[in-house]
Amino acid sequence: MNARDDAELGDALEPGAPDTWIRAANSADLEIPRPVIPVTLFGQRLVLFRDDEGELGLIGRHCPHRGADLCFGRREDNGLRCPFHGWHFDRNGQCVEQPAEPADSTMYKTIKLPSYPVVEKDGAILTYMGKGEPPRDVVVPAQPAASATR
Amino acid sequence: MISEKLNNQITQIGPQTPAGEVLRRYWQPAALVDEMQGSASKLAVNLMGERLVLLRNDAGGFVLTQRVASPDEAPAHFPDPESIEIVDGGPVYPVVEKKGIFFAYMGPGEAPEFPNFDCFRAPDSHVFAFKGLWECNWLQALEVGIDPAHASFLHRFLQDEDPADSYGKQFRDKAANLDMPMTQVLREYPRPDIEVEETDFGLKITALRHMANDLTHVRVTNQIFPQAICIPMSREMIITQWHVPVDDQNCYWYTMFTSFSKPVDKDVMREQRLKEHRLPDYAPLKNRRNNYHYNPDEQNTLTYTGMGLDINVHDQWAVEGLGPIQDRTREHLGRGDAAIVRYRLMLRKAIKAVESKKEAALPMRGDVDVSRIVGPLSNDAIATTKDWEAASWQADMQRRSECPWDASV
Ligand code: FES
Ligand SMILES: [Fe+2]
Repeated sequence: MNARDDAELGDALEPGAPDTWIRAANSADLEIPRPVIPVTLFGQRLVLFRDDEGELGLIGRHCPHRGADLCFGRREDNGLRCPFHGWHFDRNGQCVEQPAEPADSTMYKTIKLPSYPVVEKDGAILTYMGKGEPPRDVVVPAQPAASATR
Repeated sequence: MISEKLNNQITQIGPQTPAGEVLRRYWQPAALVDEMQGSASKLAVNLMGERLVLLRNDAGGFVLTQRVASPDEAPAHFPDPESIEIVDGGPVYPVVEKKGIFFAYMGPGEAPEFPNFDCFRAPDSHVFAFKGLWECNWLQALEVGIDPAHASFLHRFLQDEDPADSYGKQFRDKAANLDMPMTQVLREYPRPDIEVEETDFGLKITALRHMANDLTHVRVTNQIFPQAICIPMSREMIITQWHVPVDDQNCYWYTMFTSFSKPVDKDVMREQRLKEHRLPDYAPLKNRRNNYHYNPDEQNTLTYTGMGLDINVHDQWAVEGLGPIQDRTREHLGRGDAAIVRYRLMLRKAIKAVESKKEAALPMRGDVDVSRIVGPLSNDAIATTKDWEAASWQADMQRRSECPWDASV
């Protein structure tokens, strides 16, 4: 997945993100009954989660509808559902359902949250926020990314 | 999506701001009468970005004036009455007491008359007032109230309570004349058609949920300009709620619960709400700092948010989660947001009217006889789809005709 394509809701890639895999969290951080946590990386407010299919997602934290906090989203299928009006996002940030909109609406197809590729290696959850394609070789950095905060 | 400039224009309310000047043309709830206990003569009030004090004068009336405040005071700071110092030569704003709320007029010229809404017209015995603090801008607080679709999600109950335990609670009654709890109607029919109509007081918002067997659930709610809503709560009561700025990033909701039939049981109503708030600032006990008592197991089995059964907490989470001032440059409004779009147009029109000194063009100002503005109709009804309009009107007229006070419209 190309990280650049996903930065389309005004979330230009933050200056300072290196062209390497960076540590977003530790695997242990998601070993909790409901694996959904806020992560801020290079100024981007994101939500990191393991979906019902066991896969990881790292997507924008505020719902593109009116901005509700997806850290309280409902884990459903391959993503998160916003509790405010039920918009459902898959693990790549693509909106797949807007259950309050008229049944013939296709607006959901045009709605996508920023999202970043995620891999898990040696107890670390890594993401890539740099330019172009992420490097093929996944090297685990020793330390968390300098700006990784909750 | 709107520009940052427009977002600032419609959210900021300090003196001399465009929206602040519009809000100042209307009576604003300043405090609950409950707050001015016994013989107290001063009460701190934080309103519209101004640090104020409510004063009892010798004649037994009230005014609002400025108090000395340090710039680092907390937004809802509530100093001891004894320690309040009045600013000499500050503005003096008129205050009137209505149904348990002190209203202040902070604008220029003559204050307008109060419209003849049900909450003002009902006897004291039939109206109960309360308030609560939300840590966000007033406009996003108002916008959740003119958004009929969210109730099917944010307030979704995965199981229904017994409507017999519904007193004083939103959405827990039976839906109109059907033997179906309101919670079930909202859950099963989540895609309302929304009709928005401009009225002399603001907006009439009709949400139509087309159900099985050619029945339609009709819910009529209202926006009262500039920052109130009027909505049904149960078959017996309606809610009139103002979203009042403390400053740009905090607001109070002030609610009048108005009963059509029996007097309001104020002790029950007060006790239900005091349990959820602390005094003296009326800050809710569930808040951002304790994750609104979020419980993921409850989110799986009982409620959509996992934040308990009190729908006020759901609304509070939703609007506070948008940030101190919602960044509307990133929103994507849908057809479900029709009333929000319409409201923002009204507010912008009002801003223009004030800027170009055409104040008479503001809703309920100028030479409008506001004593003739009654209602507004707020109710839930279920009807066969082709006569929903008449049925909605009929349901309200019946409630009004059986009412012990004059609720005729
Ligand atoms: S804010 Fe998320 S669905 Fe409306
Ligand atoms: Fe609500």
